[in-house]
This record gives sequence, C-alpha cells and structure tokens, in this order.
Amino acid sequence: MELPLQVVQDLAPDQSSLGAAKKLLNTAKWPMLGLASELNTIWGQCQGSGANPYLTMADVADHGYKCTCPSRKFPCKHVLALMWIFSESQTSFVEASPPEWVAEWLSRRRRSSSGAASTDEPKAVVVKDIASAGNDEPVLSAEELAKKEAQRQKRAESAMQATEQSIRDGLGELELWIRDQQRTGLAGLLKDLRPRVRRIAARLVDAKASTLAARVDELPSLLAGLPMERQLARLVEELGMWVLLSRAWQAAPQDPDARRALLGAENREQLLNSQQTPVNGRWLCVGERIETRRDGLVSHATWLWPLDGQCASAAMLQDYSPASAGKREASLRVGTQIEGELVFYPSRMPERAILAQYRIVETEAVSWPGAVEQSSQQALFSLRRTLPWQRAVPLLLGDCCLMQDKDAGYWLKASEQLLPLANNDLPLLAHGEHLAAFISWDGAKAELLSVVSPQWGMIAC
Amino acid sequence: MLTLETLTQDLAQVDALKQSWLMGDGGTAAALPPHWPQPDGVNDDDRALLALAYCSQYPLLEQVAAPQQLQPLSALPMLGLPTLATECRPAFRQILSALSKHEGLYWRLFNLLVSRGVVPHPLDWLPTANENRLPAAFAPWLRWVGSADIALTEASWGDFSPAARLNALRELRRDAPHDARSLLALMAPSEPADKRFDLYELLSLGLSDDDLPLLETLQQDRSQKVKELATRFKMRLGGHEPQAQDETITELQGWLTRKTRGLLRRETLLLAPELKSSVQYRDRCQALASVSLPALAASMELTLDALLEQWSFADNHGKGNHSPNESLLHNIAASLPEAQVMLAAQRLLQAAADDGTDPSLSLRILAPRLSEEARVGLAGHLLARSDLLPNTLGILFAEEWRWLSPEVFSQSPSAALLIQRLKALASAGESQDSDYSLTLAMQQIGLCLNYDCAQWLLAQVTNMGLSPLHPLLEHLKFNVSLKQEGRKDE
Repeated sequence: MELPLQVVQDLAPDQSSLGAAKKLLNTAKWPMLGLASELNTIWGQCQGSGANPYLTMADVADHGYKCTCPSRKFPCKHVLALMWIFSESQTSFVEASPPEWVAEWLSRRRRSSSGAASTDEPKAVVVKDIASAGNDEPVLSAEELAKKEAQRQKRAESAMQATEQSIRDGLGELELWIRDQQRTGLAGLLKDLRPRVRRIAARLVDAKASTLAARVDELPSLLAGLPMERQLARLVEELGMWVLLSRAWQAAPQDPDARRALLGAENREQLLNSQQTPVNGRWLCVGERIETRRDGLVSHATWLWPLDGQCASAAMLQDYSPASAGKREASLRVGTQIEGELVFYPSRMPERAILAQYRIVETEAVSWPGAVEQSSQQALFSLRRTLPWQRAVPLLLGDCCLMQDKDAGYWLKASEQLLPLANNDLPLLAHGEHLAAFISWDGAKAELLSVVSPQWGMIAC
Repeated sequence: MLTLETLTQDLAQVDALKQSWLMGDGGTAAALPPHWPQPDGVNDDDRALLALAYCSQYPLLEQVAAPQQLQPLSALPMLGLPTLATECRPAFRQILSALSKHEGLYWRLFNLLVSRGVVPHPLDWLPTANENRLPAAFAPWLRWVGSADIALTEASWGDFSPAARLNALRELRRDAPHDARSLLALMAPSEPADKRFDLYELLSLGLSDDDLPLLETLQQDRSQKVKELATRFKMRLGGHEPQAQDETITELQGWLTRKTRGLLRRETLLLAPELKSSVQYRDRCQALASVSLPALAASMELTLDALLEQWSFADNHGKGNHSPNESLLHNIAASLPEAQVMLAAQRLLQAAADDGTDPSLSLRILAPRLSEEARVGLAGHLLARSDLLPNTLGILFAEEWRWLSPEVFSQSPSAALLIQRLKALASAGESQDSDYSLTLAMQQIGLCLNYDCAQWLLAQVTNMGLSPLHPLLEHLKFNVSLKQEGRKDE
C-alpha cells in the first residue's frame, strides 16, 4: 500500500494548503494515526486550533477522504497532512481495525466510478509544488526582522489601548443601562427582555467585549421557563455579576480572568508560548455540553477529570463552531480515557484548558470518590470568592442516586446532599444508584452531565 | 464577623432592594448596610450598582428545600444474557438505525441476538413499552420501561391499563399458562365484551387440552363473539361438535362445485366459482371464512381432509378484494387442528410450485399455527425453488434458521440464484448500485442465517471479488461477528 507524494500535490486545492499541511507533519500533533491495509484506509486525530481534535480519514487507493474540521477547502490541510505523513513515513501508522467513526464513513461512502471523472468539467490549472511548500515567506535580514518586530509591537500596543478604551466605553454604557433598569423597574425589563437585552449586547459587541456580549445575549434563555419570583431573583443575580465583572476589569484590565470573561480567551499559540506549566497524567472525559448560542455559534464544552490526582478539579476544553457548519463529530466522548498534557489558561481558579499532546488509552477501572470532601455549596462559595461572576462550579460526586418528586422533577441524592436537577429529560439508564455523578452546580440547580452506573459504565446525560 | 442576626437583616435588606427595583427606585439609592464596603465618594448611581453586586452573591446563603416525598428511581434490571461484545456494538448501532423504520427486520435483529445468547447494550438500545414482539428475554426491560414492575395478580389487576394488562398477561401465558388461565377465569368476566374478547384471545398462545374447561364456560358467555372464539379454540383442539345444517352451509354447499381433471390420474377439484353479483360473491367469501369447516365437509359428504385435498388453490384465487382461498385459509388457521393446517399448507405449496406463483401471502396466514417441526418440513419445498429465498422462508421462521445445514443451503437452487446475482454485481464493478430487492434480500438473509450458513455465504461472496466493505454485506458480516464474539465470551 503506497501513496506517491505526487498524489498529495495533485489533490491539494492550492499551494497555501500544501504549506499549511506541511506544518502538521510533526506526528506529535497527531495523537492517533491508524491504518487498515486490507481496506486501504488510513486515519488520524489531528490537534487543530480547537480544543477537540479533528477526525481525519482517507482512502489511499481511490483518494477519498473526510475530515471533521470546518474548513471550506477540499481536501483540507489535515487530510493533505495525513496523506503526506503516510507517503513519507508509513511506520508512523499503527495497523488496527478502523475505529467506529472510520467504519461509519467506510460503510456510507460510495467509491467514485472510473467513468464519472471523464464527464467532469476541466478544472482550472492551479500551479502547486510540494517541494516548495511552506517556503513562500520572503527571507529577511536580521535588521529587517527587528524593524518588523518593533512595528508589530507598536501596532499591538496601540490596538490594545484602543481596545481597552472601547471596552471601557462599552462597560460604562452597560452600567448606565443596568442603572436605568433599576430606576425604571425590572418588571418592565422582564416584560420586554429580549429586544432590550439584544440592543445592549450589540453595543458590547461593538465595544469589543464579545464574550460578555454573548453572556448578556443569553439572559432571556437563562430566565425562560422560571416562575416570576425566580426570574426576578435570577435577573438580580445576573445583573449583579455583570457589575462585578465590569468593576473587576476596570480595576485591573490585564487580569486574565476578567479579561477572558469580557473579551474571550487567548488563542492556542499564545497559550502554548506562555509560561504555563503543562499538567501531565491520565484524564477521563466526564461531561459534555453542546449549546447553540443566539449569536449563531455552537459552544462545545468537554470536561476532563484528572485520574492521577495531577490537579484538584476538572479541566474544561471549550470549542466554538458556526452552527451553519452542521453537527460535528467529537473525538472525546463521555467515558473516553486519554493520557497526555493539558495546558491550563492562567487563572486564580484554573479550569479551562487545551490539550497539548495526548493519546487515547484503553479504558481502565477508575476509583471513584467515596465521600465528598466539601459540599456543592462550599465549592461554589470557594469559586465565587475568587471569581464572583462565575455562574456554576463543576463537581464530581461520589455514591449517589437519582430520585423524582411528585411533579416529575429530578433530584440527586449524594451523601447528605439533596440537589435539584435542572435536566428536564434524563436517559432512562441514569435511573438508580450510581458510583459517581458529574454535575455543574449554580447554587439553585445542578445540571447532571454524566453518571457512572455500576452495571453499564459511564452514561452521558 | 457576621452574625446570624446580621445575615437575617441582610437578607431582609436584599428582599427590600429587589422589591424596590422591581417597580423602579426612581433614581434614589437606598442606604446600604455598613458592612457592605463602598469606595469613598460614590454617588447614588454607583451605590445602586454596588447594591446589585452585593445582592448577586446572597443567593449562596439560600438552602434548597427538599420536597417531602421523593421517589427513588429504580435502575434498569439485568437480563439473563450477557450484553453484546464491545467490538460488535458499532455494527449493531448502524444496523439498528437503518432498520428502525423496517418493522419486519427490526424484530429479526433481536431474535438473532437472543438466539446467539446476547442482548444489546442498553446504551445502544432500550425497548419502548409497546414492543411486545420482542423475545421473552427482554421481558424485565419491557416491564421496567413501561413502569409496570409489579406482577399482574388478582389484586393488581385494576392498576394496569388495558394495553399493559394484555402485555403482562401475554407474558404470564408464555411463562405460566396455568396461572394466566386461572387469572383470566377469575378477572376477565367483569370486563366489557370487547376487552373480554381481547383477553380470551390470548389463550391461543400455547392452547392446550388444559384450557378445555375454561373454553366450555366461555361458550356460555354473554357475548356472541366470545362464544364463537371459544368454539373455534375448541375446534383447534379437535373438539368438533355436530352442527345442524343451517342456511349458510346450504348456500356454500350450493356454491362450491366439483370438477374432475386429468386423463391418466383423475383428480376431483373443489371450485368456488366467481359470481355475477359481486355482493353475493363477497358474502359467500365472508361466510367461507367463518363457517364450521367440519360441518361444511359433512354436508358435502366429504371428510375434512378430503375437502382440503380437493380444494383447488390454483383456481380459487378470486377477484378483486375477495378471495375464496384467503377466506378458507383464515378459517383453517382459526379453527382447525395443526394436522389439517399442515395439510392445507402442503396443498398450498404444491399448487404454488405447479403454477410458479409465490405462496408467501397465503402462507403468512397459516404459519403462526405450525410447530417448528412442521415448518422445517415445509422449508424443504421452499428451498427447492430458486425464487423464494429469503422472503417466504422468513414468513415461516421469525427466529434464526438453526435447522438449516450449510450442505443443504449450499446445494439449494435458492442459494445458487442469490450467489449468481451477487456475482453479477461483483463483476459489474463498484460503480454498479445493487438493486433494492437484492439489498433487502441480503439484509433479511443476514439476520436469519445460522452462523455456519452465514459464514459459508460470506466466504463465497468475498471470494468472488465483492469488496468486504460493500454495504450489501453489512448484516451478513454482523451475523458472523456475533458468533465469533460469542465464542470469545465463552
């Protein structure tokens, strides 16, 4: 089974794709590389810019391919890189039976017939050269480089100042807006919530406080379905948190927690280049939450629990993708165990992280916590003392059981705690007693994300 | 240090602030408690915003009140069989999603699994409460999803909905026929006529001579339909009661005509000729479906066996929606003992073989009344024809075809034709899409064949050059992998 490098060059949509693919040839970026010779199929998981790796697969005989990345280039750089690695180093691939996501692709795909190609319109000729891929940047002298770097820093500084001023103005308007609601009555705001909130969220987007804008925009969803009395309590709580966040940032604009809650997180490269120490060990995927936001983005959060005590709480991987790109297959599902390095975003309460290097390992028996050291409320207290604008704290509870009240509402009993659940529907398998449960507790309700059944293993909720 | 008294006062203050903001404070900020620190020189607006910030954290002090009555939710019970091996689960999920709208094959998938001694992992599949055609191995899960985890007894009879009661009774009849009969005898008489009929109809499951005393009492029931049901059940057990010749029998006797055919071997055929009046034809067909066949045979001075042997299935197809064949077969299935049902099935297959027609629809009427031994007997006739695999055999056997040996299968014209079609597909290359009937046949056969036959067929197909990845082979491969995994588990 061979794949000439020429094929990769021919398949590439343009020269820049080849250049981008070349940067992915380092096999450390591929936690999994597999091969099924009998089926002429290769596959891999590529750590892209998102928190969740992309699933890439290709047929080396007929050059069919698939990748779960949102790229609009076909094939994308991940497919090209996968084929390129195979072409140059077949030994990097481990012979195995195809994983489920590859098997599913294989069973669904129809191989192109030899006759079909001849009827295609001739494509415009794009000049590509795999040998010179990635060498398209002009070579600069040391002096020119230093000058370029100085200009870049100057531009960055002035952009940062402009951004800070813009955010300061935006937060000023947000506080004024909140004060107006207090003055004119929150009852009126509740009655006309969506359009009013939409307007101030749009203003925050203009002011470059996009993460806070998205949070403001989600307020109607947060209050939907609550009784009037709870709506008021929740509204006051949320508005108060926005004020706290606004004041925290104004007091220390460089504070990473406040900055992240307002503007968004640092990108992957920035984080990897920072001085953050990677955390090594085995991790278990204990929860997943996929939500479509009002701004058209799908938020995909995945929680990993440290199995070797390498850190005290769960790490959260956060991905965003446009809803228009459709449903994406995730490589980390509840119950998956991995071994590798996580880099946490700098924070007073580190939770969000990215996967630096990892490999999927066979699921081993896990010893679940017998008793909870601190109650859910205490854990939330600790979080709010440090980050008072954070809504909820993720928690792993030990032995627990699911219960139901007379109104069909779910409750989770764990040790002495009895927590009302926000979930309206739960899988039937979540019924009964469990070895552990992973929740997100916001002080009023817990969102059950997974349970560990003694008979059936981990069940995503 | 905050005291309880201070906190209580704070909570009251938070409530008061919320109330003032609900209707609007009009721009006047209330005084804040002294232990809520504020920067120097704050104005009213800032104070109001700070108050909001403080109020946002007080819900942390609130305790969630647990309701008095909380019901623990019981866990899914374990079944007596192990769950499907991890390696087989992806294929199972894929097949299941493809079959979810194909009712006929959906049940076969579960029959095959249970026959191989495994059940699906509940993360991949759980039954819904009304899936009553599932194998008995799933009964504990069915009860659990239907929230009917209590046994059906005299005391709990009223706690079940009519549908749940029927399901529970069906299960009881399967596992403990005597208990089901006793419960029916005790509780069914108080039900309305239509419900009573549905309940007594369950006696058809494992109907035996032990049921005769109950059937005797049912013949005295208030409902005519129940009386007729009891009579039919008694007739199935061979309990034919002499019946006076009534108007219907006379009418049918006049309608059915005898005709001799053949030169060397003369045979008498019983014909149900088409009538000019379609209403009259319909009525006669309906009468044929419910008349006492022993009485009809007696009125024509024939034995029951002679009536069935002389009936010409080839000539009595009927027209439009009215078919004398179908009416007679329904009557046979409902009211004659198994020996006569078998005789009718043999005659039916013989006629279909002579005509080259497909007997599937007619056979479907008789199949539920035939024992496995009888059905295996008939299967030989079907395998001898090349055009009936797997559909007609599938009608006879809902479960895995354990009775079929690879030798018989490999030498049957049916298998030969199937392989020929697959060979044509393989030689046409992958650009050729398989036709729907072949796809359906391969799905069905993949879920019906026993391991040895499935393995033989898969080897044949892959040897002839069809890619093992071809979607046509998905079910067959799953069949083979099941046994392999079973061996590992053993």
